Amino acid sequence: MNIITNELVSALRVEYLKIRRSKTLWLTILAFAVLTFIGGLFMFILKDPARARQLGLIGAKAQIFGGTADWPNFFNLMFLLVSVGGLIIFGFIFVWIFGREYSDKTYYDMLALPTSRVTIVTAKIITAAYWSMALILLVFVLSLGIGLVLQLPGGSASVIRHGLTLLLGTGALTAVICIPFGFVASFTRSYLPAVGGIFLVMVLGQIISQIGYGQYFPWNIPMMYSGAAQALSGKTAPPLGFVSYSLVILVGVIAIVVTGVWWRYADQT
Amino acid sequence: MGTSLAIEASGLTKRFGDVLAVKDLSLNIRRGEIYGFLGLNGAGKTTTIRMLLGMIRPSAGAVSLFGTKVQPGHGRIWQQVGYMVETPHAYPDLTVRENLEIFRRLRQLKDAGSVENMIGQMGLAPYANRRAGILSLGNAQRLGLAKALIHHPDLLLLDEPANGLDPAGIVEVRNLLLSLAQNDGVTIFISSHILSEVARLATRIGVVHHGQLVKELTAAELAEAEQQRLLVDIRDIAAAQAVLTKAGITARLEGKNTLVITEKSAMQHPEKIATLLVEAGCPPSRLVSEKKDLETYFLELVGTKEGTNNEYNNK
Repeated sequence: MNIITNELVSALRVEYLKIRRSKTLWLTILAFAVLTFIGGLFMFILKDPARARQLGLIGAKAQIFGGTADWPNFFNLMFLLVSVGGLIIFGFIFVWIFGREYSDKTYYDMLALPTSRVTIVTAKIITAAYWSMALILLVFVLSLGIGLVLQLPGGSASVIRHGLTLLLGTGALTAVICIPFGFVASFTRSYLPAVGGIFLVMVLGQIISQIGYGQYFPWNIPMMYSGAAQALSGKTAPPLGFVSYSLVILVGVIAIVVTGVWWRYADQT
Repeated sequence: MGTSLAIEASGLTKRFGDVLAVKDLSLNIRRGEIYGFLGLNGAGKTTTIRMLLGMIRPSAGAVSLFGTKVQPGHGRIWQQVGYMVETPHAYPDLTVRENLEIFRRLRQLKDAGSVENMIGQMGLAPYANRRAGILSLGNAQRLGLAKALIHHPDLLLLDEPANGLDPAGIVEVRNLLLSLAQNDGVTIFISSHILSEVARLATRIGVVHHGQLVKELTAAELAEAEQQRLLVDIRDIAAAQAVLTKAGITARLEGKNTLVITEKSAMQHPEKIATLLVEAGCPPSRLVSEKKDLETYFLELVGTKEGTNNEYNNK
């Protein structure tokens, strides 16, 4: 057990070293920071549309919908941006963490080591999940800062706690449904098909929602959980129950097992 | 673990769909040997190395390294093995030092100094903080070897390690490998398509062709194979052959007008052959003493001509 733990700790440190130097880390931070600032910009406009019009932030005739500029609304907007952007950005993190070994051809070096391939896969998945959740925390901290600067009304400890809980919950669910994209990148030994997969599930999610079965399509669950699906469609989303959450967990577990088995047993040519 | 064999492969076969890449290949490589694995491009060298390293599963046959069968779950065996498959690749955003640090950790090496030692040993100190992505091919190759050697393996498997190196780099790698074998007793399995390079290094050579091991020979046998021969161009071939046969010299015809003599006495005294032929009224138009090079020997051995496609597509 001790050996396994040591192996995993080593593999995790290796993944940390790899991402610390990568441009991808900074790109994902930038992407989420931009999303948060867009949310802040909306609040700024909503708070005083006349001032925004004067500053040229919106057109003279633009009608601004979306409620009032307050903390609950700001968080609702962030849930929407995080659940849509999260699928793309977290998906890309999983794709990059696995796919880079193939694009850089460094996977050869990982195949005959005292650290097992399954440990390496586990470390990669943990790192991608940790990275994703760290981005969620970044969004939360930036949101707090922006909200304070904008002096948004309606803030309270319970509103902030609710915002953090829902952000973390949305992030965790999104991270789990992104694990399969790491497998696709491994299986195809490339980024592109896996990135295509991310957009495919987004399109499928829209279609399946339209026919009323969104709650059974795992890649829709984070959006429905955060309330973003309802905000986007304007319709009342069906409630999420045990089956919906179980499907998310099932997708994650199957993806972890399949990725581990593939790395361990498939021919690495 | 008491076996004297570093590599024991029996009946290795690998089929990719319709392509039979390796067929019933067996190897027994003793500890301390430098084994040259020679073959043309597409002969099955890389596929064999990958099977030895457990990267691909044989369709039939098995591999043991130091008596331990290569299969998923037997990861401890890799503590004794270092390898470099094809052109070495490294994480381009990371420095040379960081790339080695990754392998120190993945190889579970406690000694943090092993990275610096390897940087020094491989002459990488001036480039230690340089990103691997901007290294020259020679230095990338050194980094690849450093990754393979960082844990002081007992067995080193190298796939075409001289690929892309300039002559100075080739000599450097050769000397390093010789030193590892002679001073540290490291068993080295090295694949190449350049016989002359392998001949300078290996104690034993296996020739693979169309996925099969067609010949194994020792360094001494290989030296013998570097035959000298006498080429005699002559107009009246039949008459000349009769004269030589009468004198007890065997000559074989090569091309239209050339006789080839490989007997040692003829090699030592080519002037006697010339005199014999002149006196018999069939003077040679050209007489050349030639040392058969290893490449020619190799091509003869695998029975192929340059430029042919060597991939084995046998069903």
